[in-house]
Amino acid sequence: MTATDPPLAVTDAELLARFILFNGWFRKDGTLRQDGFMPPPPDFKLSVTRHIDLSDLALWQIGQAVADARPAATLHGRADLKVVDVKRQTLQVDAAPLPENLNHANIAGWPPDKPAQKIIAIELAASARFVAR
Amino acid sequence: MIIEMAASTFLTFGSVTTQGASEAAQFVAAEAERGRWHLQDSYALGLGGKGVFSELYSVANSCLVGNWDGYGAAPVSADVYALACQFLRALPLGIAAPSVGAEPDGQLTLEWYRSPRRLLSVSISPEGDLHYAALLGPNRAYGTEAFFGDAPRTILDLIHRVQAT
Repeated sequence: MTATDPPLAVTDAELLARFILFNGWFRKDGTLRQDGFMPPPPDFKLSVTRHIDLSDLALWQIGQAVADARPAATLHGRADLKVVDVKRQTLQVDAAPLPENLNHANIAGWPPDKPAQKIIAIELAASARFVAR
Repeated sequence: MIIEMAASTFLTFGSVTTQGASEAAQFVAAEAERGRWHLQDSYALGLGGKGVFSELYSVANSCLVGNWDGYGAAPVSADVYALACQFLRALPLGIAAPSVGAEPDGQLTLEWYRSPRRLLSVSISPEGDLHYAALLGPNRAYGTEAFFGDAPRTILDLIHRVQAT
């Protein structure tokens, strides 16, 4: 770990970003659908980026890199989410730095059954804020 | 009279299956179902006029190839698309139109939405299971219903609760 690396412990006061590359994950009224907060199988870890120590520009650059990794993808925006709202759903946020994104983290601790995951994803979507690119 | 009965049934319950085993009973049921599909596709009465089938096609088409979300999402299969079409056609005529989405596991979703805390989301699995979750203010409802061609009563009730004024 270097002086510029984010701390491994994720605090309740932090903000998380989930980049939105699919236009079906937000509504015309600027709210977010639950679909984008569903954890992918088989490990059920939802990939997010911690805001901590990042400028808005740096945050968007990470999002753009996610989009650039896929042909013809568009970065539509991001969903900003408070760690405290994630923990309220009895989920946990684990720092999971990647070489290309030291602020990468996973939202883990999801229940195994899909309906229970959906109701949590609805709660997360309701508490998140969509920021258009 | 038969037509009137059929129409009112379609409006209330959606598709109607038969308990009859005779060839005639099966024929009548099949014809009734075919007629209902036409009505559901129609501009005036069905979800077709509200653009739901077009939206379903568009969403499924944009998720045909894996990693459509940039996070490694599974593709939406033809089976899931076909089941979603069947489920939409099984809904009662005149019902509020859902919007269509997709989840990272490749399941299509139908959402009835009033506000972020008053909505119903139904996921359609390749096995024909309907996973649903609804937030109705402080109340939550979620579970799974098997789809055998009829719209499950639980889901119809939740649609009405989301839409109720």
